[in-house]
Amino acid sequence: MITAGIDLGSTYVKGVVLVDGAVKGWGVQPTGPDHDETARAVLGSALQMAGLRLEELGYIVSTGYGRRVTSLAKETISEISANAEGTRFVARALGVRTILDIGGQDTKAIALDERLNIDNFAMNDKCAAGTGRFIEALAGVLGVGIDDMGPLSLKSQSPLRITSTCTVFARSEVVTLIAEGKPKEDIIAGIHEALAKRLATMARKVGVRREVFFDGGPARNIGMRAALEKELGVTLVVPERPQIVTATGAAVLAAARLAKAGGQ
Amino acid sequence: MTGSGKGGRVLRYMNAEMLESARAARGRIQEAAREQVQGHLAAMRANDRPRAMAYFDGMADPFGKRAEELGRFRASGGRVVGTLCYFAPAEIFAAFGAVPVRFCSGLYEAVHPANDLLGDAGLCPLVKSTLGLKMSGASPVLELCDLVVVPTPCDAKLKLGEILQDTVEVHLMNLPAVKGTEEGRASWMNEIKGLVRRLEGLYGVRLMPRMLRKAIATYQRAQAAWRRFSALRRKGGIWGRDALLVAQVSFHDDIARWTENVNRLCDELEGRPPVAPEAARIMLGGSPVIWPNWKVPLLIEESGGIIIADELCSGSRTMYDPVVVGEWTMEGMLVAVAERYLVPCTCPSFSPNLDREENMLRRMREFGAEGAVFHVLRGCHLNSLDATKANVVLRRERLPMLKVESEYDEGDLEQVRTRIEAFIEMIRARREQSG
Repeated sequence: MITAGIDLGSTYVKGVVLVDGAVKGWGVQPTGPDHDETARAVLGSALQMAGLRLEELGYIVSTGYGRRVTSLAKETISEISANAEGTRFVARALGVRTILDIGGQDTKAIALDERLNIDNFAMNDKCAAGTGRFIEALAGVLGVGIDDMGPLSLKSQSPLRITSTCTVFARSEVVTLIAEGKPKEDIIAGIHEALAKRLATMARKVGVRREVFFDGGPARNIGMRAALEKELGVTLVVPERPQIVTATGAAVLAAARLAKAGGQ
Repeated sequence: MTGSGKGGRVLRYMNAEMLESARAARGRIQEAAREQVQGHLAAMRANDRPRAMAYFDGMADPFGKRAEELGRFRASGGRVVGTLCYFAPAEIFAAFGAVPVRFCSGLYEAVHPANDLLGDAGLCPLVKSTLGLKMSGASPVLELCDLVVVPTPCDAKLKLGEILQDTVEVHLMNLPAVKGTEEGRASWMNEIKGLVRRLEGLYGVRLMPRMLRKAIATYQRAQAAWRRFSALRRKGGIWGRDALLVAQVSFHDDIARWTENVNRLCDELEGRPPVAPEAARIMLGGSPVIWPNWKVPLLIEESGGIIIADELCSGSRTMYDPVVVGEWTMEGMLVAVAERYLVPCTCPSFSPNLDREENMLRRMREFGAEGAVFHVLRGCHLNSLDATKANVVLRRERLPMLKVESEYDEGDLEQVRTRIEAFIEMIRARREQSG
C-alpha cells in the first residue's frame, strides 16, 4: 500500500511517502507563493527518494495551514490530528502522553490519553509570538544562521532575559542588547528561554504528562530543546526527523483510509 | 471642544469631522452587510433546510424589508425603542406600544468608524461595531429610535452607553453584578421601575396594568414557541446556524408574527429527519454571536459538527425563559418581568455565576452534546474568564471544550478553522473508540 501525506505549513511544506507502513521518502521546501506548486515539488522529491511515481500513490491526505489549497489531496485533516497520528507512528512504544510542536505560525500542545487519542490541545494566539517565526526573525537580527542558533546558545554561561514574546518587541530588545555589546550566545540562549517559557505555559494548560514528545522544525534546535527541558523539568523525546512527523501522520491516515476502502 | 450633532445634541466626545467621515462610510457599511447576509444565506440554503426558514431569510437583512416596515410604522406615529442587551425588558416597551429593536451589531464594516474615535484598543468588536453603526447612521431603524436603552453588564457597554449620548437619547440601566441576593434583586427592580418612569415621561402615558398584562401575554406566547423550538432542535432537524438566525430575527421583528412563524417552523420540524445524523453534536456558548458575524457557527457546521444547542444571550437565552406572574397586579407583573431578565440569565457579568456552568452541563446532557465550543470575542474579558472556569468544570465531567477567541474580521478564519476541525476530529475519534 502506497500513500502520501503533505503538510502545507506557513513556512515549510513537508511531504512523506509511506510504503507498507514504512517511510520510504520525504521532502521539505520553503513555502512559496503558490502552495499547490510547492506541494507538487515536495511530493516529487519524496517520490523520487522512494523510487516511485505519482500514479502509484493510492491515497493522499493533506494537512497544515494550506491543506485546503492543494488539488493533490483527496482528503484533509487538521495538523493537530495529523501530528498525533504521526507521533503514534514514530513513537508508539515510548509512552508519549504530551506533544509539543513549534510550527512556523502555530505552536501547539497536545495531551494524549492512555490509548494515545487526543484528550485536549492548546494553540497559540493568531500572532507570531512564540512560534518558529520568532526564532527565525531574531536569528536574522543577530545575523546568525538558523541552524547555528542551537550550538551557539549552548556556549552561554548566563542567558539574558528577553521579556517580550511579541516578535516585533523582542526584535527591538535584541537590537538593544546587540548595541550594548552583549555576547551573542547569551542573547540566543535568552531567546530560547523566552520561547520555552511560553510553550511551557501552554503545555501546562493541557497538562504535562511524561513522556513529552517535541516536534516541528525548531525541535532540531538543540538549544531550544535544552531550554524547554530546563523549563519543564523533563527529558524530551525528539524524533529523528521532527519536521516531518505531521506529514507522516497524514500519510498514515491516508493508508488507514485506503485500507478501509479495501484498496491496495 | 464640543460641537452639535443631529437634533441639536451636544457633541461631547465626537466631533463634526469624525461624524462626517463616519456618515460617508454609510453606503459601504450597508453594501457590506447586504453582501455578507446574502453570502451567508446562500451557503445556508445550499443544505437540506426546512421550508419555513424562508420567512426568517426574508427578515435577515438588517437594512432590508423589516427596516422599511419599521420606517413606515414610525412615520405613522409608531414608537420604536433601541436596546443593546438581553437585559432590556421587551415586555415593558411593548406595554407602551413601542417596538423594541436590539442593536448589538455583528457587522465588521461598522467597526471602522468607531475606531476613529476609540482607536484600535483591543476592545470588544460588538461594542465597536454598534458604536460605528450609530456614528455612520447606516441603520435606518436605529436613526428613528426615540430612545436607546443600554443595560450595563460590562465595562465596554457601560462606556458605549455614555459615548452614544453624543448622537442619541440614552437610558442606562444599572445591572447588579451580584444577582443572587435580596439587595441585587431589589436594585434591579428599581431599575425596571426607573425605566417605566422614563418611558412614561417620554410618551406622556401612564402605564396601566392592562397594558403590561397584554404585553406579557404576547411575549409569553413567543417564549412558549421558542421553548417548543428548542426542544425540537434536539432531534437535529435543523442546523444551529439556522436556529440562531431564527432567534436573532426576533431582535427586530414584529413579535406576534415571529411567534407564528416559529410555530410554523416547529410544525415542520416535528416530522423532519436529522439534517446531519453523523455530525459531532456541539454546544455553542460564550460571547454573543451576532448576525451576520456567522464565522464560528459556519465553521463548526462546515467542519463536520452541528450546533445542537447553545448557551448564548443571542441564541436560546433570547426567548427561552417565560415571565411567570404570581399576582397580576402592577407590582406583581413588574416583579415577574424583573426576575425573568435577571434570575435565569447566565451573563458572565454576574458573580458568582455557577448557573452558567450548571446550565451548560445540563444542556449538554439534555441535548446529547459531545463537546462545547466557547466563543470569546477579543476584548471580552468576562467571557474569557468564564471560559476558563467552564473548561475546568466540563472536563471534570469528561466533556471536551474548545475556547475560540476571534474578532469580526476574516483574518483569523483559517486559524479558527484549524482549531475547530481538530476539535471535531477529536470528538469523532472518541466516539469511534467508545462506540
